[in-house]
Amino acid sequence: MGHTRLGKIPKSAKWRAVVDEVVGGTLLVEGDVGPIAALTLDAATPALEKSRDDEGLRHTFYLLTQVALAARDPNWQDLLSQAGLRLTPDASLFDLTAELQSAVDRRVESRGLPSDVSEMAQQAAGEALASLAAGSVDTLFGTGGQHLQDAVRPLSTKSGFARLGQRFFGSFLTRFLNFYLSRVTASSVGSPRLNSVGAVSEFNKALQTHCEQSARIVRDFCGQWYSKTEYVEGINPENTSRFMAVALRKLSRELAQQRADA
Amino acid sequence: MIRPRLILCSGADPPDDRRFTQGRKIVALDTLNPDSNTHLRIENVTDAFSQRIADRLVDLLEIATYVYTADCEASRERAWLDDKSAEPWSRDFLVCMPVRDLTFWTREDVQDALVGALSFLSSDKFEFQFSSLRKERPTQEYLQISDVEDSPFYGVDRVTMFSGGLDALGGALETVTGGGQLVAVSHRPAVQTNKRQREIFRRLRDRWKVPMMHVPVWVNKSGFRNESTQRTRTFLFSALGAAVAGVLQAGGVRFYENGVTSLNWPLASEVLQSRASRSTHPETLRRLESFLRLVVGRADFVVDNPFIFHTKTDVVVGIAGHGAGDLIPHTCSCTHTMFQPKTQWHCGRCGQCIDRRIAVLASGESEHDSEDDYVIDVFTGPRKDGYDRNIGVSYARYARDIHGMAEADVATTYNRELVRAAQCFEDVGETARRLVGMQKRHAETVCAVLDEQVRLHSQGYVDGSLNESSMLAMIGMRQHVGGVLPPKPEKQPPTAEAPSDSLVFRKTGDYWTVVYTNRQIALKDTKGMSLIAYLLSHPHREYDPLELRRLVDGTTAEPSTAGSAASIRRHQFTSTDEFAGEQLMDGEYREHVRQLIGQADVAVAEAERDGDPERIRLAKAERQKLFEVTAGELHSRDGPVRRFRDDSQRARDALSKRVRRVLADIRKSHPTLHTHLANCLTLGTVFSYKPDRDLHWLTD
Repeated sequence: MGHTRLGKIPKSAKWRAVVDEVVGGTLLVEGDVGPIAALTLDAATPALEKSRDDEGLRHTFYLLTQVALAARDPNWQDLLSQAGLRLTPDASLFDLTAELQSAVDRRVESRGLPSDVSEMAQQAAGEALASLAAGSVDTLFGTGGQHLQDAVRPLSTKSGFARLGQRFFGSFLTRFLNFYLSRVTASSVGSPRLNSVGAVSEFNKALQTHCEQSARIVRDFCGQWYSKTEYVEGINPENTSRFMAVALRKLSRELAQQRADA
Repeated sequence: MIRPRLILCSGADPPDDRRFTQGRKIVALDTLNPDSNTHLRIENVTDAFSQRIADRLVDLLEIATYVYTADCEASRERAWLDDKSAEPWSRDFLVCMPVRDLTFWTREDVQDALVGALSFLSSDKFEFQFSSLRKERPTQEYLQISDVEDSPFYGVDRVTMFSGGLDALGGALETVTGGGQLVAVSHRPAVQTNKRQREIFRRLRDRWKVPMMHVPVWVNKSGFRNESTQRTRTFLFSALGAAVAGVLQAGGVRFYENGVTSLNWPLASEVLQSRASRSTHPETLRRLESFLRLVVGRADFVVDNPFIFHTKTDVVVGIAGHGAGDLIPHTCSCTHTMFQPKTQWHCGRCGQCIDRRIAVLASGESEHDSEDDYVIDVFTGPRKDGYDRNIGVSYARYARDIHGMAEADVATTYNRELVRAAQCFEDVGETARRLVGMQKRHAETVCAVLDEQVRLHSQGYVDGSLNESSMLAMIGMRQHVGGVLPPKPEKQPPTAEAPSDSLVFRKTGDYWTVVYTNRQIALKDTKGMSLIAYLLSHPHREYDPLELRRLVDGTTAEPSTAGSAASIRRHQFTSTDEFAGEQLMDGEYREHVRQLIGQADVAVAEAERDGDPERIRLAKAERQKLFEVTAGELHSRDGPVRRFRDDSQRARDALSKRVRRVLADIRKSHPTLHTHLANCLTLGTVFSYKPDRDLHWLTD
């Protein structure tokens, strides 16, 4: 295990509110996660808004659409190649996730330094593709070619892409919130609400579930946008960028609404 | 933000162009002048070495020394950006320095490779402006000449980077037991570290009669200690190795680091980019290799790590296999070497100490790793709040999680990290498999050692002597396992009116009979009552709003498609504009509509002014059509924007409204039931009824 640098949370009114919510009161319960997530997003709103312009985030999602669309086509390798994803005929699902992330790396590096948001997006895309398309370890690492296309094809339909979108946004939101919250929870162990290190694990699990459920708000939206946009004008980086902005706004509003409902 | 730096090296002048200097903090560094503030000294080299070292390699040593010092000077601890929502981590360095081989260093491919390696290691932005050296800088100042004979080492296979830890010892043994010549280069950050490295080397030389050469290098950065992460240290280390390798015409530079440490998978979500060190990550070595091939001018120059698929336990087993277990006490693995007393080299708290102790125990070499060498016992010693406790539990949790996962799950959960490492090898898939296998082997070892430690200290659990903050005590409390958060408790638990067996929510004619806590009420039939009844009869199940509406209402409504009335209206309208999808309903769209209606107003006015009845009719009809098309979407031309909601959102809002109406009625007639339902019903992206105990409702 190498050196790891753990950070701190800034001292501002909004972040103090997050800390108070995490450490104050009685032992954390399931229902507390939603308000904590909403407060965190409120404090991190400027960063989330800025992430709409993040090249890594936009390109990652754009490549997910291209992978899904290519899976419909007999010449799927050619289509992937046009999107900048170079796969060998015997490529496995793992190779596909690797190539997708490499393509994002290449794009981001050609335009400057990678960002934290880009890193989160790539983590979320890799996890979403691997978890939804892999039925077994052989599918993930093993036999490629037609087998790989068959594994990805279910994600190319309207409902399939809706699932992929939900998984991607759920994972991204979890990582985005925990980028901040893990600093708060790590320094709050021993407080009345997080009385042990184990409670942090429980909190993280609950946060992940909460984010995945919250991402349902964009599930149908993802599917409808994917289907309609491809039919009407074809999915391209520009309309993907506009879609991402709206999807992130939806997620943000959803957390705010949950907090209001709580 | 972290103020960008302008690093002026070896007396370089600032750039004339103000764009390069504006807003930057100027830091002047020099390694040679009387007022030098950073020092480099390579010891134990021959006079011939000093004559053969190429100008380009001396440039490399100076660049690496300056970069390392600049890294230590610029603290990453600065106020957050963007209204305190973005942590500043990356820094911006513009390095100006004179070099001996200007033609080489100004080549685009060289600068790209140099910046690429540094960026990956540090996540910082580097830019170099090289100029020609105007005044001779004597190389001899960097070298401490000795009477060592280096001719046997020309053409050696690899120059080995030697830190003095267990992995470095394991690597040195691989070389000497194979009959190879050992050229070990060490970076000496502290006096104590130097003593340990020399002692191990002396013992190696005594036992294995093969040619060995130890080249310690001092880099002293007086006064520049603002940043402790020192992510460019590997760059300095490899530059030192490459300089020696370049002179000796060696085949490359070799690091020995076990794979788990090299990959350094993050333990927390905040640990992104170089927040987790990438010192010997395969991508680091790949980038360094590309760069150093250019510097030494050989396409076959290699930078590698033969232990990338080894766990630390594998390394210790290897050391023992070479009959060198007795050298283990002379190695140091702790990260806190500068702060340890002379008699105890390991803190016992950090991840590296845990790693070492577990590897030594798992390999059966504990006799060579005295407990007395640890300030606290790794397993039973007290741990302070914060980092100490977190690292203890996180270490155990990481091992437990990986141990319990199938290979595919590991590859999915750590996909990004696995991809980044595996893509540095020829066979990406096979490498990924091997790396996952190594992680699982490591996890299995850790779990087995912890299991054994729990058994050995079972008495401490029973008699209470085990320190409650120790790693074993925390494991005993299952803190590394993590469960699920308890459900939200009811705000007003019904103590006086405990629910009886008879819980009824049933429709009778136009009314619903509801019984809870032996109290019966009657409520008028509404859609919301059917919805609640359905949820009560399916406790703990979660429903998507669309699915629930279909189940309760019996409708077969599918999500709207492009054929819905609203979509047709939008599609007709947008066939002439550039918008599509959700953002149709945002402010930009409204502005667009406004402009179109304004144009229609102008057309009507012009037609009326010209007195042309047909044009008036057509213009008014067009304006009316615009109003009709947009009427359902906008309250008014000046009113608030009404945003488009998808079907799921509509269903969710409609169903929530139904339930809330019923709850409002129940609140008036049966407050206890209202409290129970308000606490146990979830209305949102999912709908559910989750009581905190088993309740069986009689429904239709």
